[in-house]
Amino acid sequence: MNAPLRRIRVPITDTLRLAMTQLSMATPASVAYRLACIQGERDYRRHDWIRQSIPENMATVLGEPLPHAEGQRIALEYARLRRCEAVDRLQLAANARRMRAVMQIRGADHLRQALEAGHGALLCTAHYGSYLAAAGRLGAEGFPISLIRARFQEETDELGLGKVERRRRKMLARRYLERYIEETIFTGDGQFSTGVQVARRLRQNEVVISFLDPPPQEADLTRAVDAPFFGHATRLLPGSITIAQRLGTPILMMFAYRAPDYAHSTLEISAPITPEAAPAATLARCLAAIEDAIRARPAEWFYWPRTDILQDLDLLSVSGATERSSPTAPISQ
Amino acid sequence: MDEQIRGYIQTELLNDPELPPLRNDTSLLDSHLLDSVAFLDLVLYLETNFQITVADADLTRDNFETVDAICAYVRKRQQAGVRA
Repeated sequence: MNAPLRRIRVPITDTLRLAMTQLSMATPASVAYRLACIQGERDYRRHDWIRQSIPENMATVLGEPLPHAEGQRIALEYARLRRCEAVDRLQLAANARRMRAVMQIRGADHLRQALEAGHGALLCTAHYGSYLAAAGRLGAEGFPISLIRARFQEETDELGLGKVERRRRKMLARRYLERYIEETIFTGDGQFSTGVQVARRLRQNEVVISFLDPPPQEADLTRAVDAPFFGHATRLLPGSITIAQRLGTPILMMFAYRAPDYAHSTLEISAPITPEAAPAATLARCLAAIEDAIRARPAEWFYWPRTDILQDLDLLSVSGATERSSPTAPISQ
Repeated sequence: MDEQIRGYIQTELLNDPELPPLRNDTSLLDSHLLDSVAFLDLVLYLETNFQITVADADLTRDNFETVDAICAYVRKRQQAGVRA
């Protein structure tokens, strides 16, 4: 596209997107999720990267052949779920009551009991299902939530987003996430700051949500530990788990997954896991729970088409094995 | 002030007779002498004993790299408090 045409088209597209966002927040949930599935099916038909990279990456990561029909079924499901996940955030952006109607929480008592001990609670999860809406949903339920996350694209100085689109995304994040949680703890600002903030929140008896599956950033590589994931030897950061164990904070797992009707989902919180003596071994237990959740509902894992991330995680190496190398920790114990 | 802070780190946080005496310019971060929880204890100590508030945004390497840096930060916060 030539530059003058792009200068006109980008703001128009972004403004339309902003209008659509406002409209979507007003759309009844039943209609919104049905539309999301249709959009997902269209994405699946239009984008080669969905149809090809998901089955290919799955076969490599799992180290076993994936029948063509099964791979395509999961790719199609992935496309639908991504669109439904966006609707979850819009529901929450509209208001908490709407989100309560579509996302039930199972295991909230585990979290309440964990907090009664007064050492906070560490909720470990992955980029799985509606992971951001889940954080907002818990905050809307009254839990004091702090979320450890990387900066969204609109929060960085990276180019590539128009002014209107940047504003739209910021407005959405404010409405579906920030207004429901106590604090956002950013990664990438130096492990020192992140770690102290996590410790501070836990000492204040708050709930800290930590994603365990992102590959470490370059500056943090020295702090990464060997972590078995899908039988591959990957390296991940045990930081939040180390802090939790030092403070005697209960560690629980959390996953949000969608019901077969697409319009409803469940946010499941486990009982506290039994920590191992070494944080790296506890991390392995948590990763085993994540692996179980992904194997049970593969289309829910956000990273399948992200070849770059899977490579950083060393999950695409051909020497991958499928044998589990860490103990299984069921989601509900 | 530096003696007080260094003493607290040495005796309460490090508490290891094997370690050489802490110097004012020893990097607390690169040497991995203190973990996150110990740093939080240090922050709480500073807040209690020097009547300052340490904001999350102030938890930077520049402010907490060494005892010297911590002292400079505490003085800055105290002066800001006086002005306010």
